[in-house]
Amino acid sequence: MKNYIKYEKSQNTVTLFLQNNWNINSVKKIKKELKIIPLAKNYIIDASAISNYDSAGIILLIKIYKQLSKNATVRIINLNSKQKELFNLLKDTVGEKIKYKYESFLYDLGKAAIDLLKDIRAFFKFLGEFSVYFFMLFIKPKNFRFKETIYHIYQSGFGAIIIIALTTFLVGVVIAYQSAVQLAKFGADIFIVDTIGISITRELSPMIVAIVIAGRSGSAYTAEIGAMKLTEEISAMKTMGFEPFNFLVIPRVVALIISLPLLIVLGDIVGIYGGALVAKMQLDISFSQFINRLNEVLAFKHYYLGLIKGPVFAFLIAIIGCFRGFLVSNNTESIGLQTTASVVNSIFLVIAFDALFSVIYTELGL
Amino acid sequence: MNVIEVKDIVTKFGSKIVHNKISFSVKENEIFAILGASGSGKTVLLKEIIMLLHPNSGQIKVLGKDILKISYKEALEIKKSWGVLFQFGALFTSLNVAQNIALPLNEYTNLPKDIIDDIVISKLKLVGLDANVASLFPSELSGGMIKRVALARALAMDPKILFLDEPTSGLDPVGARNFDKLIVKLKESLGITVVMITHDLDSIFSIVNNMVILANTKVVAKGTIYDVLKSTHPFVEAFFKNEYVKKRYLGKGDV
Repeated sequence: MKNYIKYEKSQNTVTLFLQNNWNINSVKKIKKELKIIPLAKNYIIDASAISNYDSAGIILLIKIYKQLSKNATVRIINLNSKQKELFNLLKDTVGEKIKYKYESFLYDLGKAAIDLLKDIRAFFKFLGEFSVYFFMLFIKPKNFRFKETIYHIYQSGFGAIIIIALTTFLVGVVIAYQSAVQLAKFGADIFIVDTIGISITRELSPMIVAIVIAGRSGSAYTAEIGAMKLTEEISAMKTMGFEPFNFLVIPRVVALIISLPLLIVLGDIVGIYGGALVAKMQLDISFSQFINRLNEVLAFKHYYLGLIKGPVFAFLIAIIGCFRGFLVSNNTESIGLQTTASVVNSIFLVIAFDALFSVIYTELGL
Repeated sequence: MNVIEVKDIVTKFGSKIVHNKISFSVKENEIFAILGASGSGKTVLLKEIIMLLHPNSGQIKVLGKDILKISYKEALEIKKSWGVLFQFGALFTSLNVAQNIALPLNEYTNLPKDIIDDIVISKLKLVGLDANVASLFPSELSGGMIKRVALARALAMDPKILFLDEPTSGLDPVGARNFDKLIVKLKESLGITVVMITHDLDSIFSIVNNMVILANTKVVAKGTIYDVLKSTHPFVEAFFKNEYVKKRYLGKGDV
């Protein structure tokens, strides 16, 4: 057990002979040997036999030196010139403790609650600013960024056509399959047209489209604006007198308000087509039969009651996407956190508002 | 002994030639600078030496091993024996300062926590920071502090080679000179070889031992400052033989 420190004791003086490697690979073992050092008034540390050293080893030596110096006189001899240089360089750097900040569970809980309230407050402030800049556009329409708006309609509307068509088609197929089995039991085959027509136009297409767009465009808005905040592009805009609301927020919100209802129309068509396909295969209802029945049962109100939800969902998704983007602080982690929060918030709000719409429609007898 | 040997490096990005047969070597325990106009491929060259990019052809030897042809295991050994300071620090934002510096120690050694803490504090103080900084996160630090913490992280494992990408850019003049002094001290006491990209004339004239100057895809001058001043290449003329340099560093006489 005495590979690194040997000692000799005479009267009041203990001489420690340091040997072998004093480096990062051995400090753990050296530390175990420290316990054997006897108490004395004077210490002499002889470093002549150290074969290999690095700063970790020298740091340990300084620690030993400082520890022993508290109650005794200590001399270090036979350090070679390079070791001495390193010793002097590191001498004043050793001895302090890292102060770690740990917070209790209650503190974290309280902080989370306060942060949530702050977020909500900030959201309403953002909403207020948005309204101000939005209505200012009616006074000064020149400030409306037409080109950006078109670009975002293309990105979030046209770019989503394939995924929207695919998801609503599959939803139509699934609904038709599920109802076909049940309706066939009662011999009420033709009612599949009612089921599909009303559920797709009134509920499913708006909701599915909104959820897909929240995941697709809401997250993109947050990430784009968040990255611009990290690279200080937004600060640069402000110093040049450009208002980020006019440049970034309003084009995105307006673009989504325009494109989301259009996607709902697409969803209605493709969803009903998916249903009609299953009706034909499972229940032998031909396309012309299906269309005729659809004409009879699908009142126009179901179609526009679904469509009206579009702009509302679009506003929620876009405004939350932008708001979360502006909340990104100056580290890379927060982009991820805010993007996640943006998608979760907007999907939740879409579903909550959908429920609200259902209640309102029912109360109004629509 | 040559710590780094670069031979006939050719790098192309698409049809654009960045390096056309570049060769130089870095001796043990010297401070070596890579100079050149912006766009001359200094950072690309550094990235090739630290195995982030692969040149189109040529040979790079680090610590005697050809890094373009070594196994994963050997590469890891070499990576453990160098430290790299990136231009903007590249600290891990999810870790605090102490965790950033301790990361290589935690991953590659089995040291107990108290010794790691001692090493972390020692490195922090060595680069001129206070121990209180240890619990802060990178987003709470200033640009100069980020650079210092990044240097402390690069030094955590006592590297044999230290790569610095524009170490003094973004530091105040006093901080920059202290940084230079620190580099010299580390070089002398730990036997580190330092390879740096720099534009800082003070560093070039005061601490750099040898340098290589890149321009137009070629090495246009190399050696000590006196060797380099003999060159008549336009970049060298513009960089070293202007009025400012003559007055500030060379006395008023002719070069």
